[in-house]
Amino acid sequence: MSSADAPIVSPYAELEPPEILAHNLQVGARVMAAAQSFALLAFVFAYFYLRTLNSNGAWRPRHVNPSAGIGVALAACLVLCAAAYFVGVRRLGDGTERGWRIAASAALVFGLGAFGLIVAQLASIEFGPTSGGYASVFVGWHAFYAVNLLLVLVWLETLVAQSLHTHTQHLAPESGDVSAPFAVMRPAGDAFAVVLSVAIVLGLLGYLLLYVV
Amino acid sequence: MSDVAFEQHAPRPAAAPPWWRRLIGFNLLAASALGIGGWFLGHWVGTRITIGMDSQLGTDQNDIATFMGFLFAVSGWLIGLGFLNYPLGRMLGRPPSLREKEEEGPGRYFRLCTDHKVVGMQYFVTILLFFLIAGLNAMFIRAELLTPKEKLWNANQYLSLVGLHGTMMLMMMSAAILGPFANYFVPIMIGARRMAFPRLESLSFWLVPPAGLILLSAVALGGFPTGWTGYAPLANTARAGMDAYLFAFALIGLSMTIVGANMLATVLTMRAPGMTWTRLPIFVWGVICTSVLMVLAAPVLFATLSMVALDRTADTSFFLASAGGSPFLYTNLFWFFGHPEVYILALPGFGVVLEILPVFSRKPLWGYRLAVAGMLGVTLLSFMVWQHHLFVSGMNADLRPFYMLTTELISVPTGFIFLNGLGTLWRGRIRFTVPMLFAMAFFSNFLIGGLSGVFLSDVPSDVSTHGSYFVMAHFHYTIMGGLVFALFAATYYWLPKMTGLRFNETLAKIHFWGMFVFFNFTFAPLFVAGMLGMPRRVSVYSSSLQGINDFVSVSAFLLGLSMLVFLINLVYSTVFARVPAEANPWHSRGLEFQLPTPIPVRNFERTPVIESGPYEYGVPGAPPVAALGRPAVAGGGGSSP
Repeated sequence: MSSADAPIVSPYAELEPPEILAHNLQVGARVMAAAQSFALLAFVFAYFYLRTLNSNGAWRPRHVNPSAGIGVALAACLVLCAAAYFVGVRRLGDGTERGWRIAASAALVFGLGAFGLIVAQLASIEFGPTSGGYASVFVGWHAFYAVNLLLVLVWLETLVAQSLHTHTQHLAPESGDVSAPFAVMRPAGDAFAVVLSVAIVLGLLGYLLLYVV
Repeated sequence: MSDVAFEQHAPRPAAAPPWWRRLIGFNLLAASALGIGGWFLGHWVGTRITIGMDSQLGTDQNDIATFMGFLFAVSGWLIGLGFLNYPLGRMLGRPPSLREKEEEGPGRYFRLCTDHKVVGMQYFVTILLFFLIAGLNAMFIRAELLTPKEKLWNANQYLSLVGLHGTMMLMMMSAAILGPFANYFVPIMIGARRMAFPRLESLSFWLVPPAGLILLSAVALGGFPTGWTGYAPLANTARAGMDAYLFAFALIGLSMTIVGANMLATVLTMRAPGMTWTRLPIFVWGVICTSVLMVLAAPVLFATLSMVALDRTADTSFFLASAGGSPFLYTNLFWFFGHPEVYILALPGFGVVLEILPVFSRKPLWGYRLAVAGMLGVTLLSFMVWQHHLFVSGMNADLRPFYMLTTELISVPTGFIFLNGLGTLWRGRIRFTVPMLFAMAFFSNFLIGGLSGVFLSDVPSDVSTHGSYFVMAHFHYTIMGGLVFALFAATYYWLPKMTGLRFNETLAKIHFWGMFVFFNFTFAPLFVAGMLGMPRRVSVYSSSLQGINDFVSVSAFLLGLSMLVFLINLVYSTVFARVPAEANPWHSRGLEFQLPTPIPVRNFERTPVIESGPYEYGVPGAPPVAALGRPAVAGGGGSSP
């Protein structure tokens, strides 16, 4: 890196203890989980509202039936994603980093599987979004949930990537402004668990409403 | 870790590159270029993928292409500013860091900067700019209303003007106090050196300019006929300008959510030792309450606007009764956000005026805990009142009494705030400075707004006044009379600290008196116009109302002129006169005023230890608010030392 490209660092900069960032993440994750819930609950409200009104008798015409198989697979992927992640977090707590990395990677794979299934479901449904209130909520929920899930998985991927680099990279303190960046790993994992739990619970709620009830 | 150890690891400053080199890289220039390029690319991609789609056949507009254009434009804008660099680095395993580009100099205002004070200034200038544009729209509206017949604008243009004015004001005013002043001062007021998530803080700001520009682009896309509420099903069939409204408002919803989450995390985790909940400045309590509303209400707005966008692009029928949807779904979801939005506007105003009153009364804030209870009460109740906007919509009549009661109940915690204000002023040694004048005007205006609100919360009187200029007058008294007056109180109070420069006091007082008098001349007669049956959102009215409308229009122009005085003062004081302000011009006990001006990048040399509350004016033997010279203590938290 040339001197012109070098980042300009404040002369006031000093390294920050990792506990502060850890505390930020734990609270921030809970707040963002609340925001995520309210956004998705708007669709749940729409579901109940339109179902109750059944305007023009067009809530759910008979031909509107999504693939139950994909729905079950989607719910299974979500459950497995959560299960794998929580196993990983326990390993992280035990200090078994290898176990954590394997479990978190598995959670990522299951999460991506769930995302893929949503895309497959939307691509293969035999009814259009115009087919009544249920169809609208179905399409809206899946599209919105898919974007939400993708953002959650980006965070998970970040944790996995950071974890993988723990062993491969020796970091000089000057490389960041947090004094022990990898000490944040455990609290970041716990913070993410909150967001993931809420996302999975909402996903399962969506499954119940749109496929089971 | 000891301070010595910190200093040993502190990075050494690198040499600054030449000015021309700074134009190349991730900054506003690159963001603009990629944003514009992104619009064309997105529109082209959208057009290509929709060829032959049933939903686009037989129409002369392609909503998918428009949305894709906006999406690519905003993505390009954020990439140009460098917002993707850090997340991508993290996805590749880069360790976490908190700050970047916190150098001195004007360049930091035109790029991603994680210094919360820079973000505060960025917000201030941007909000001011959009406030002026929205204000100019109001002048156009009042110019049209000088005559009872269509003159300057046809009905559609007039509706678009009204919508643009309302939406821009609501969008921008949501961040009017939190954006500039909470971002700038909340970390300092709680004794922190940064926000909890500095990059998200910067992101929340950089979403605002594209939102404003996209909303303005609605003019070129045929406008939107729905006003700021965007009611479906009219929104489903409107021209492409509606897409601009939806996208812009959704961006603001996203920005609000980020701001709220960041503020909450900051106050909960970054307080200095000794900063207990009862020592928290009242402004920070206002910010906490506003943030709760933002985090819970703005995501619902985002989801609701997404549903409208799906109706317009994917042919879903969320809001079309003929196809299994319901327009009432929209009104319910929108007002679940929309009414808390009113308090998102009002609560920071409460915080500002209660912060200012003790300083200029030289007395402790009367009833601190009552004020906090009032704000929390407003926050809680604001989620339980939204259906009063639907009283005349044909809603279930059995629900009306509940919403009437909850709406009237909300005046109780609001009344606490008035009690706090009056109790603080009582027997105080009042100094009528400009911030104090604005703070006192807030109470007078908000009282009228609040009392007129009681009529609208009451079903029988709401039935006769709904949709009339009475409603218009009411919400202008609460939002402009409340929030905008509080905004100017905050501006005159804190801007000398932010800029290090003093305002010209004579011009400031001319601004205040002009604004106060002509604000009341403009909006008080509209209560009468409303009672006489003048409806909102139409430019044609009974000729018998021309006299009152002409009076209001002339007053509105003079109100606009008073804003011009503010602008002149701002430019004169900061560009030409440049009289240095003292570090603590108001002799305030606020922690922010104990720091030198300009405030250093990292705020505090050492983490401060808070030793007393911020409002102990005139209390014998009250210790200083904080010990600023003690060694740093690791960790945040608010526990007493």
